[in-house]
Parts: sequence; C-alpha cells; structure tokens
Amino acid sequence: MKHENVLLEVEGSVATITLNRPEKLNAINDAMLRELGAALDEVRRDQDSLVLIIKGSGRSFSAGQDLSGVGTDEVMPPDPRSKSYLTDMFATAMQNQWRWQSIFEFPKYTIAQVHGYCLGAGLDLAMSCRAIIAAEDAVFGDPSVRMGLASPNPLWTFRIGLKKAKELLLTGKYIDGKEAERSGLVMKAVPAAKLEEEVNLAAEGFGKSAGIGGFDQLADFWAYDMAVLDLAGLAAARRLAGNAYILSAIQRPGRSIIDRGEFNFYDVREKKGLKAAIAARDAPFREYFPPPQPKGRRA
Amino acid sequence: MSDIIYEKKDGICWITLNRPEELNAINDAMLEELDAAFAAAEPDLEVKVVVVKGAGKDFSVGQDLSGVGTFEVLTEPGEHLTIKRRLEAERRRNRRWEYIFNLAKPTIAQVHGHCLGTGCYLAMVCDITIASEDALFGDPLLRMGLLPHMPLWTWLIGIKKTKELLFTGRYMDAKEAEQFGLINKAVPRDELEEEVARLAKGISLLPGDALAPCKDAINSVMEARGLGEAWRFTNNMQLVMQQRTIEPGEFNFFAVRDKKGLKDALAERDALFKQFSEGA
Repeated sequence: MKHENVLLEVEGSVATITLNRPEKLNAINDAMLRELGAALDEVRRDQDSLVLIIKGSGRSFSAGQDLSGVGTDEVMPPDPRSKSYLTDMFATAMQNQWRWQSIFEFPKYTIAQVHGYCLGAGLDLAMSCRAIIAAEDAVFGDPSVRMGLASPNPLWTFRIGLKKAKELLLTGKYIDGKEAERSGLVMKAVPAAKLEEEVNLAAEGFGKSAGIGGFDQLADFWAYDMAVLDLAGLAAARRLAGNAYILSAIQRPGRSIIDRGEFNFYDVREKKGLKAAIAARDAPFREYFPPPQPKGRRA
Repeated sequence: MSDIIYEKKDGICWITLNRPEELNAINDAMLEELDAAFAAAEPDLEVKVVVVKGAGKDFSVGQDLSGVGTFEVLTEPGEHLTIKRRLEAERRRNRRWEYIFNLAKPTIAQVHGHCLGTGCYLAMVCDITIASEDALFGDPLLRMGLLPHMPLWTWLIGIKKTKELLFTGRYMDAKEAEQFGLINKAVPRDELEEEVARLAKGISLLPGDALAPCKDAINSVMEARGLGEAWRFTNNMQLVMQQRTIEPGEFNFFAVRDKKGLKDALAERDALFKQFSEGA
C-alpha cells in the first residue's frame, strides 16, 4: 500500500513508520491517521516484524493534532460554532481513546523515537508506544487546556504520577527530554546526534529478546501486562477521561454560559490565521512557564 | 475569620493557615474556617486558582493533639463514643479530603517548614505542591497508636516508600519528597513565594471552563484506579484501629499527655524512635 503522510519500511525484524508531513511539523490530520492505521495493520500482519519504530521526518516528531480545521474531524472535536450533536462529540472522543488503546496494545515491541516537538496528539501517539527514546532537547507537552480543552489521555497519570500530571496538564507547559526522563515519561533521553543509533540498538535488542525460547514471548507478556493495567483502572479511566474531554469541548470559550471574553482560539485563527492563533495561545504563558527550545530553532 | 486568612487578588485565592504560635496545628475551629474558605472559593467566578499556605515558621505540624476542640480533626481512642458517632466523624473527614481533592479549580500547596499528619494530607490533596528545601514531610500517627489514613500516599510515592514512611513515622525532606513524587518541586526558601506566585498567576490566565474538566479528567483516572474505594476502606480501618486495646507497658500518648502535658508527650513519642530513624 502506498502512503503519503506516513512512510513504512521493513528491515529484518524491525519495521519503521515515519510520520511524513515535515513542512507541517508532522501535524496529525485525518488523512495521516488513516494511513497510520493502514500501516500499523500491515506491520501487525507481518510475522517477521517483531519491533516497530515510530518516528517523524524533518525537524520534529509531531507538533500534535492539526489545528488548521481542514480535514481534522477525527483528531479535533467539532468546531464550537458548528452546533454539533453530543452524540457526535462522544463518538469522536471515544474513537480517539480506542485508537490510542489499539496502539498501546499493539502486539509488537513499539518504540517512539522522539526529536523536536512532541505535543498533544503527537505525544498521545508516543505515549501509546511501549517505550519512548528521546533527544535530550526534544520538547514534550499538552497545551490543550490553553485552547479550552481537557487533555483526555489517562496514561499521563500512570506514566508520570498524579502531581506531575496535574502540573503539566493544568498549565499546558512544556518540558524537555531530560525532565521527561526524570519524570518517567520517556525511557531514555540521549543527545540528539545519538538518537537514531540508540533507537536502532534498542530495536535490535528487543528484536532478539522477543524470539528467545523459540516462541512468541511478547504476545504472552502483553496479555499479562494489559490485564494488570486494566485492573489498575486504565480501561475505566479511558471512558471517564473521555467524558471529561467532551465536557470541555462543549463548554469552551464562545459557547460557555460563563464565557467572559477569554481567549478564543477559533476566532483568532479565523481572523489572523493558524500561526498567529498558536502564537497568541502560548504568548501569555511564556513569562510564567518558559518553554524549553529545541536546539538550533527559533523561539 | 481568625484561624484562616482568606484573600483574593487577580484571580488567585490565598488561604493561609493562621495559628503560627501553634505551628498551624489544625483544630476544629480552623477546620470549620478552612471548609468555609474552600466553599467560598469554588463558586467564585473571580477565583481561578487556590493557593494554600501557612503563616509563621511552618505550613502545619498537623492535627492539634491537645485534645481541646479537636473532635472533628481527630477522634481519640480513649473517648467513649458509639460506633455510629465515630463512623460519622470518619465519613466527614473523608468527605472533606475528597471535596478539596475534587474542588472544581486548581489548588496549589505552598509548603515550608513542617508539613505533618493532617497538614501533610492537606498538601497532598492539593493538585500541585511546591515546597521550600527546608520543608519536612511525614505522617507519624502510628507512633501514637493511630492509623495513617490518607490513601493517596501509595499512589503518590509508591507502595514500598509509603510503608517505609508510615511504619517508621520518620520525616522526609523536600528533596526526597520531590524525588518520590510527593511534591512537584523543591526550591530554596527565599524563592518559594515567587515560584508559587508565578505558577498561580500563569494558571489564572487559563480558561476556567477548561481547567475544571481538565482537572476532572485527571482525577477521574484516580477514581478508576480505586481511590474512591480506598477512602472508604481506609476510613473503616481507622475505625477498627480506634477500638484497639492498648497493651500493658505500651507507650500511651494520650495518657502521657493528660498527665504531663502535650509537649512532654510529643517529646517522649519521638524520643523512642530517635535512634532508629533519621530525620525525626
């Protein structure tokens, strides 16, 4: 199958999916999601692939969901001005949860190779992988709350703990690869120049250990691991967090009964364009939560 | 209000525990004002974020152990009470923590000095905790034959660390607390206020309509992980613990307090453990 927005390569026991909209910092839109789904199915069916690397082409892993509003029905909740039905919102939110869950349960060892920005849905994707190996200067975060949306991913709390999850999600602030490593969000942070080598080494290692004993250890371990997480509340957490997300989507500025002229991302985007809207979204917080900068990039 | 100072400025509500001469020990009177303060802040559209802090040298040494005006904050084992009354009191205590934990606004605990027992619980149920490096955290209830009753311990710092801390009653400094996830950040004492003010100010600029469901999404994960049942279960265990018969020769905190006074009882309580655990 031919893809445009993602690339799939297989070499030995290692398959690699590359997010490929570099000019848009690999922002995830509906088309990319569909292709990602198809590529994942291909790898799933390939008996010889034991390890899957997911990475991004160009300067970043992924800047998150495409916020342009064009071809983004599946990655973003309906526009607040569209007067959409609650049922549709609920469907979008739940599909979103099951998408990440299906990657979380992917029956191969999955590694996210992260450099540059890894935000919002991009981070949902990376977090759904078994391990994240990141460049030290990679930038992680979920600025959803700055646009009026709750962050729906329950894995945050499981990965980095309650206090840290609240600190990041209730401020929308960004952290670098080193802090992400300290917090437990990523397995390992390495200098950017060493990232590729480090990931390939890990993939090779996982590929070997996956076949130890002459049977498929991974499937067995995954079944056990997933059961433990579901018993620890992950399945219910997905539903509950999904509901809170819908709640935020139906009451964001412009639609809320207590709307008091707060920042409205959609209005600013319409008037001044996407870039200006994102800049306006983050500008007030620079002073209070200064973002780390990926090396060699302008603020 | 006297035991609590309630201030509101630029979208931030500051709640200050104000019994500095008692190291902000929490008694029933303070608790009542604390309840009222949170109840006032929650529906107030001018308040985006709530900061809890302590006046004087400490955040709070915990529940007032004097035995005077402390029924709501601590039911003592020796008191002759029906199970029904004890159960009601336990339920009220839990409902308070659950209420603060689920307050529809972000909460920040600004901690310096001692942060023990009930004081520590208060900091734990706040969303974000920033502490100065001189802060000490702990829950020495077991040393008095009482049950530590905050289920969040296990989720915040892990099961092994929780057991270590509660079984020994020892205190943890801010660096260790940061390392194990009890607090978000330890900063030098003279930077604490500025750090918290910056955090609160930043949060106050966010849409309030988004903060509430965002917090709820995170807290709902804790519900799914069993926090709701854990409150109920812990609180029943505490009730059982209160019915315990003190063994002959066992250190009886409350008897010593009634005979020699609170200060002596506390000194005696901690002296027993000095040689075994650091920090206390």
